[in-house]
Amino acid sequence: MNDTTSDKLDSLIARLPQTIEPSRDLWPYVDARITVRAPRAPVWQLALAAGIAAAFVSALFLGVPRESETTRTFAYRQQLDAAYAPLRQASLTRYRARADRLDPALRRTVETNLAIIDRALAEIRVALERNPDDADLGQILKRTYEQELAIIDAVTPPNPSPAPQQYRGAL
Amino acid sequence: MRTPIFGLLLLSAAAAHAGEAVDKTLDVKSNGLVRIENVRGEISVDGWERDQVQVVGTLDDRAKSLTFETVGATTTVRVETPDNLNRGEGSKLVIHVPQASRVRVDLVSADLHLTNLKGGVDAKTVSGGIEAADIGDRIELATISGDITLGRGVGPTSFSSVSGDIKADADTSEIKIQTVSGGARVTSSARVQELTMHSVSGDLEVSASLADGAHVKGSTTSGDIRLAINPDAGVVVEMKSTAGGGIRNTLTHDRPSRDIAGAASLDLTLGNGQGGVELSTVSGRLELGSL
Repeated sequence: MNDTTSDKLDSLIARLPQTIEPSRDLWPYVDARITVRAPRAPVWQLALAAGIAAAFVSALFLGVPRESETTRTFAYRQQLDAAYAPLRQASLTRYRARADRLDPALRRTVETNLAIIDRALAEIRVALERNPDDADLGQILKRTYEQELAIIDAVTPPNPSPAPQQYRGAL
Repeated sequence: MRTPIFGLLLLSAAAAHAGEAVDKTLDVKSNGLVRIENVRGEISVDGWERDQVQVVGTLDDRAKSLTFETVGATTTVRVETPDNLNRGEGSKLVIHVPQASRVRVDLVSADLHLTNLKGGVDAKTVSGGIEAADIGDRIELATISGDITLGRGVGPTSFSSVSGDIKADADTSEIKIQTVSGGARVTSSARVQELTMHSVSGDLEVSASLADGAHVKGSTTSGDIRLAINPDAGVVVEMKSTAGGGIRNTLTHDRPSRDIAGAASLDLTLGNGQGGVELSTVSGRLELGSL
């Protein structure tokens, strides 16, 4: 672009108004869009996270182009943690919101076992730090995450209904 | 002229009163699906020779309704109760179904007894126990806090428990076991082709002959796995434990090795090595033994 054209553009831009009033009140429209979209976001995010988790785990165990084993496995663990983090967060939030409706004995059992899983996850992570090349540990980590989510789904299903069929498929 | 075949439709919905005695029977297909849903109490499902489903017993003290209906090949037995069940007794029902029925049971805080069912069982209860005997085809049994006991189970079998213990004598080539803190002791009189097991802190013990080309995969975090197999199995065995865990082999004379960090491993080949046994643990113990 030469200088003459640039000067003309600057001149035209300078003549533009600093603000423009919309031809109609847009806020109700914007507000409606936000209101409609807001509830979808968590589902969308969870679906994406689940998809990433599934794709990632599949790629890991079905085979992917390899860099160094150590780098790959370390990256794997980080990505697995990251992929499951939003799913765990959503499940635990749901559980905490509804736990007081559970039978007290069942609640104790669930929470004792969630604590066991939590300790196991910590133990697995320590083992992975020591053995970053160990793909079996990665599988144990993945299965343990899955068990944690399955327990929470079983007692506080994602789509609650009073009928007991809500528990199907949870374990 | 061919007679048009219409789906069998028998419908019988009955309003029920809380705590009411019930004794109802419907004609059904011999190999249909029977779905049973109940929140609390004790449910027995028993296979019999007749092409009928019969429900006998008493309903939950707080039951709102009993749905008992057959639509096509599906029969439903559902006890509806309010959300808040902090008083009264649960349902106590004996449900007879045709032996060849597929049975699906969903309970919440109820014990379940299953006997003489040959068409496949998929049963889940959250805080009750499951006792099953003489059942077959495809078996899926799951609880959170209850124990699972299976006697004479035939066909691919899946067990899932959180804190409950699993004890099973099966006659199956496919076994899947999953627990968190619960233990499992499973035997199979049939040669096993596929065995998968995972536990967080529970101890798992499986005794079974392995078929040619069998695949066994097991893992725990702090729990132990003891696998007893036939010495003439044809498998490559790979066992690994991290530091803090251990490996014991009483099947052959091979000894596990241990690295400087304390992790142990054992690799050996039995017979033609066509199948595989892969066991790993984070800090538990792995043991390979003989039947």
